[in-house]
Amino acid sequence: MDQAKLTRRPSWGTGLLILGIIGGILGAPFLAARLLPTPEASRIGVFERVVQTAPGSSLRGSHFAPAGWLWADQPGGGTYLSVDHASTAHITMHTDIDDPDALLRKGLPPGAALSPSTALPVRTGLTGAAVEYDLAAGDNPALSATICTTIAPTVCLLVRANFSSGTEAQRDSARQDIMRLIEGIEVAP
Amino acid sequence: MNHLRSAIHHDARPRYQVPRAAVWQPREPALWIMFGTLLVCLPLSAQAMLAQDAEPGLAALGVLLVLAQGTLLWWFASWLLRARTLSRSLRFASMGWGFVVVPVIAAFANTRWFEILSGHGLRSFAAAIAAPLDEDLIRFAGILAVLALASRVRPIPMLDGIGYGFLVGAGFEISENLLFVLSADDFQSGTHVALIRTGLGFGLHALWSGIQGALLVAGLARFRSRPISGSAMLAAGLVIPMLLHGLWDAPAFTLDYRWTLASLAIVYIISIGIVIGTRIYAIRTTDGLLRHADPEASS
Repeated sequence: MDQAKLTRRPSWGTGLLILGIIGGILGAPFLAARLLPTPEASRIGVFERVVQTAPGSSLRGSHFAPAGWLWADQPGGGTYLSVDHASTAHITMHTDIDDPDALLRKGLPPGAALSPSTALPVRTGLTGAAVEYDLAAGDNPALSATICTTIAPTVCLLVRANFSSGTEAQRDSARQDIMRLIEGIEVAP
Repeated sequence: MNHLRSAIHHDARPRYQVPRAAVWQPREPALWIMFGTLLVCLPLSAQAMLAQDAEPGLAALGVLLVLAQGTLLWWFASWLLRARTLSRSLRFASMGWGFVVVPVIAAFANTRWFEILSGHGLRSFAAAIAAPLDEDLIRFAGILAVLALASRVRPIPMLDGIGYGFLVGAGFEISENLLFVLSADDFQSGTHVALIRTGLGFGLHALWSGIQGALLVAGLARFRSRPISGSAMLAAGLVIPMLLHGLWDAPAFTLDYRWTLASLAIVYIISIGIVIGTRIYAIRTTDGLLRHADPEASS
C-alpha cells in the first residue's frame, strides 16, 4: 500500500461527532438546570462532611451533616434545622475535658441533669453517652450527647438536639437522623 | 467515521513516511474544528491564568512545574509508548488540545454542574460526577480529532492511539496543575500544591486518556467486522477512564488518611496496570502482524 491510497474522503461523521461532544458538554448543564426543579439553597445533601477543630488540639472531629435538613447558619457549620424548622441540632467540639459526664449535663434543665445517661453506639476509640428528656411530656423530646476520645487528653463532641416536629413519626425520624449522625462521628489527627 | 475506521489497522509503520506537517489535512473537518476550538479557547485559557494574578515567585514556580512535569510526562511517553515515532505536529496538536481546550471547556461545564449537583444534595459527589463526565469526554473528542488527522497519513496502530491519548491527557494535566499553583495564596502554599500534584496521582489524566486512545483505536478497528465488540470497546474507552476518574475524585468517607491513601493507591495501580496491559497487547499484536506481513521487517 502506498501513501496515495490513504487519501480518502473527508470524515464528516467524525467531525460531527466531535462537534456533538463539545456541544453536549457545554449544553447539558443548561438543559439540566432548566429541567430540574429549583432546589432550596440551604438544604443539606448526601454525605456532607463537617470537620471541626478546637483551639489547642491537633485532633479534628468530623460528622456527616443530616441529609435533607437545613444549614441553620452557614454551610459547614455545626447547627442544623429540620425542614419544618421545628427540630434543631447543634454540634460543638471541646478539648481537655476532665469530666465528660459534667459536659453532658452542663446547662440541662435541673430534672434532666439528674437523669441517668445511656451508652451510645459509636466508633472504635470513642465512647458515647446520652441523656434524653422531654419537658413537654411527649411533644418536645430533647437529647444531649457526648462522644469522647478514650485516650487523654479527652476531646469530646457535644450534641444538643430537640425534636419538636409536628407528629410523633416526624419527631422519631428527626431523632433517627441525629442518632445516625452520632454513629458517624470520628475524631482523628 | 468510515474513513477513520478503515484507516485504523495494525502497525505497518516502516512502509509509511510521516510528513512533517501531518496535522495539515485541509480536507479533514477535524482539522478546522480543532483549529477553531483552539482559537476560541486560547485567549480564555490565557485569561484564566492571568486572572490568578500570581506573584512573580508563584509564576516562576508554575513555569518550573510545567517544565518538570512536561519533561517527566514526555520522557514516559517516549520511553514507554514510543511517542517519538508519532508525527511531531500531531503531538503538538494533542498537547495543545489537552493544555488549552480541555481546561477551558471542562472548567465551564464543571462549574455549572457543581452548582446543579450541589443544589440537589450531591455537593460531596459533584467533583466525582462532573469532572469525569466533562474532562474525559472533551479529551475523547480531542483524541478522536487527532486520530482522524493521523489516519490520513498512515494506518493507526493501537500503540499510536495510546500515545496520542496520553499526550492529550498530559497537556491537560500540566495545565490543570499550573492553574492550581497559580491560584495558591502564596509561594509556600504554591510549593505545597506543586509537590502534592507531582507526588500524588501524577500522570493519571495522561494514563486515563491513554486508555481512551487505545480503546478508541481498537474499537474502531473492530467496528466493521465485529460491530458489537467494536461498540463495546468504544464504550469501554469512555466508561473505564470515567469510572477510574470518578473513584479518584470520590469523597473520603473517613478522616483516617490511611484508608484514603489506600483507596487512591488502588485506583492509581489499576490505571497504570490497564495502560501497561494495553501497551503489551498493542506491541504484541503489532509485532505479530509485522512478522506475518513481512518477516524481514520484524527481524
